[in-house]
Amino acid sequence: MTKPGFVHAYMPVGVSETGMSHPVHRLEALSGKRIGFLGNGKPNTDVLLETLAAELKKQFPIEALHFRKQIPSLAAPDELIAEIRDRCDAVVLAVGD
Amino acid sequence: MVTAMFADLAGSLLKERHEASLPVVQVAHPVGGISVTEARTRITDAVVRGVASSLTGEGASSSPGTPEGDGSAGADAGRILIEGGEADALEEFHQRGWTDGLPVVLPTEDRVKAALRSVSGNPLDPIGCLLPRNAAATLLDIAINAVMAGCRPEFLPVIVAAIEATQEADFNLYGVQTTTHNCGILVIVHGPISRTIGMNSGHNCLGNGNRANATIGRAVRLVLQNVGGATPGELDKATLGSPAKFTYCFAENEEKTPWLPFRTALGFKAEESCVTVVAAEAPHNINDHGSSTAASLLNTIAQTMATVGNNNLYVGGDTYLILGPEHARTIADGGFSREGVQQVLYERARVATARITPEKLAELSSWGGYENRLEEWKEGIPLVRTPGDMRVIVAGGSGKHSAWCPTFGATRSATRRIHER
Repeated sequence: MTKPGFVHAYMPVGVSETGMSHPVHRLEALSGKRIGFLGNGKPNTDVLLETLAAELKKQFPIEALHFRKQIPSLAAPDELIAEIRDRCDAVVLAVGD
Repeated sequence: MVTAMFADLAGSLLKERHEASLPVVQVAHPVGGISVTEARTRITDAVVRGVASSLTGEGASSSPGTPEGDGSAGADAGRILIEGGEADALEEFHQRGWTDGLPVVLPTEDRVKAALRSVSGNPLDPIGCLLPRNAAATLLDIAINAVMAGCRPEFLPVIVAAIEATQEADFNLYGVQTTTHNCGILVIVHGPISRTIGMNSGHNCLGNGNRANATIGRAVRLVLQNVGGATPGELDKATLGSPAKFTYCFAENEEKTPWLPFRTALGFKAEESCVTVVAAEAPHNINDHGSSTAASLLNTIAQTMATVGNNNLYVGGDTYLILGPEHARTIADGGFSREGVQQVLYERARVATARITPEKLAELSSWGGYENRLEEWKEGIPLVRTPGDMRVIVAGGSGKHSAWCPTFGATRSATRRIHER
């Protein structure tokens, strides 16, 4: 059905679904927790995360576990994500450039 | 944790992935290309406090599942009603960021329906899930963008197959769409359909002047931008971009190919039409009017490829050599098969480590994961990791030119059969 004075056209963006954001799981406290650190592999992201972990350890009794993604432009492999999930209580990701 | 210049990308990605409640802590940009000492200063007290409180939720909301958007997407999805004439509607499309900056054809119902008649299947059937937006691209969505690009209806099967090809896991659409690299989507059409729809495989086939070449490449870009969400400057974070991101498409010149056509070498049948998608840089010309032998010409090609700053040297992937017909003939007359060309270029297109500074070499070898092969490759790091990754195809007209298309590296090209109605 056309409407006088108006142009009808299709939108080129498809249908974007309205959804619910997933809730974030928080730790009750940092004390005694194992925190994973995973960078995207670009230069100095390891420096960034090692510095951050050292500073956090000064303030909180945490254990820091560092992980490495080989290629910045590829998603972390499922095996690495599974390992982080199994070994850590929480994880900090760093995306540097 | 993300550098400030990429905070909007992180926020947009989390929203699209329904993870908007995940906390993001910003650090000063850049992190790369600075000294280790300076990089350490990025971790300020505020950053440490931000990460600590993000992990525990201290000082943050309780972050229950929260609705995204205003719920109106469904109401106006699919069609749009714009007051005024067609010129007003086209201006509205520009304002909404739905074009590539050039004028488009308004996707009216009649035009889109005509395009859909050239393909089989329910218009609402999803062809694939396009990242980073994580949106389903239907035949209808692809037809809409094809009309906008100026395609004739019979071009649509090529575009549908190209979008299907981007779904191959190794193509790495997520990385291709969001990278700072300047790759476009090179679309190569093989087989009978390229002649049926009047594509150019000869003179200037990578340039202007042919409607099918120009609009098929443009349509693929518009689908990936509009449905896939690669909006320039937002989720598409290309530092410079490239003219190849407007359109980048040609047909293989099978008549002038001295070897098996590209698709039959991949296992497809000669009577089948196919399309290949490659996340590639714009073509780099290789001029050699002097070489009369295959050995001399292959040396020119290999030395042109042996450069330090290209992504293939970093991470591998496949890379594309487009041989002009005269160059292809010189090489074939020298007794080389396509596999022979691939082998020679694998061996000769190498960069000696002495040409690379230590800090750049550290970056290269780390990304590429070949630190433990540096001694073996001291005389030259290969552009690609296997001879088969040196893709060779013939196109173009007369003249002593070929072209090399470096790729994003963290990607492999994908070839799909085109289904004609």
